[in-house]
Amino acid sequence: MSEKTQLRDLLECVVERAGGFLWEQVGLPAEFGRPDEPAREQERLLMATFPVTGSLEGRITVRAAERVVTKILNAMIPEPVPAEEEELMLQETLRETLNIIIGSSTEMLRRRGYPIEVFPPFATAGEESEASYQEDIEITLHTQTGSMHFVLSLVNR
Amino acid sequence: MIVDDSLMARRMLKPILEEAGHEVVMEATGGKEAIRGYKLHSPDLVTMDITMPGTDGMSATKEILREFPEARIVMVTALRDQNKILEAAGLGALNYILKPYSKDKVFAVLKEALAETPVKTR
Repeated sequence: MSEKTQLRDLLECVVERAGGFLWEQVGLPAEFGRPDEPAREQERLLMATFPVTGSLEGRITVRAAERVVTKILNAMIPEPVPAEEEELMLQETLRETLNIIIGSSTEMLRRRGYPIEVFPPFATAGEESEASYQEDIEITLHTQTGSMHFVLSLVNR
Repeated sequence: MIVDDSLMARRMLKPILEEAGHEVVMEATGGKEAIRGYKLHSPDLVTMDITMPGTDGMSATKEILREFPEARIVMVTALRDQNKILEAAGLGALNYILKPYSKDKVFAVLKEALAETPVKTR
């Protein structure tokens, strides 16, 4: 298997778990799609990043439509969020969602031969310098509410 | 006491604990704060996230149980990592809750953990 195929396989494991999470916890069906499909630039995207080390060195970045994150937040915390906390809670929701997705992917990844170490994800306000990373694979998950884009970037070798 | 670096995770867990009839005496966002909080409040039970920046849940659990062997600590984690869970049990954690969790699962784990006899009086 080529390196590119392996990386796609790895990221697909994560995206499959994301799809499972959206369905099981939020009741939101999702399907794989192309990253260049419509709606990508239509609304604000929230972003979170998860460092990965071990059999590979890099990071997984998720850019998710605000409406998707809002739906996840409403499903996880039924009580209304105070307006002044809304922005923070949206970022935290994406971060915690990524934490759950990666955490529940780890065992599957190890079984498939990707012994990676995971670290707590962090929410980011926007694009950071890509100087030391190369975006290798992107997979998009589409839902009726909006999309989530998963990007696996490796440290430049 | 709830220990988790994620505000959302704390917001999810707190109402469940309160619904079970418990008072949350403190929310700590990291391991060091948890150790200080335990000394201050001596809570009946601690829910401890494993993966946190800085002093993680494993280190904080070890430190709390070294000084307070009677502490009841339940690990909370998204990691499906049997080794970590066994390691936490080896340190003296009473049980674990996997994220995402159901309310019933949390109730069951809390009930079991609070029924445990503290080490000090065993």
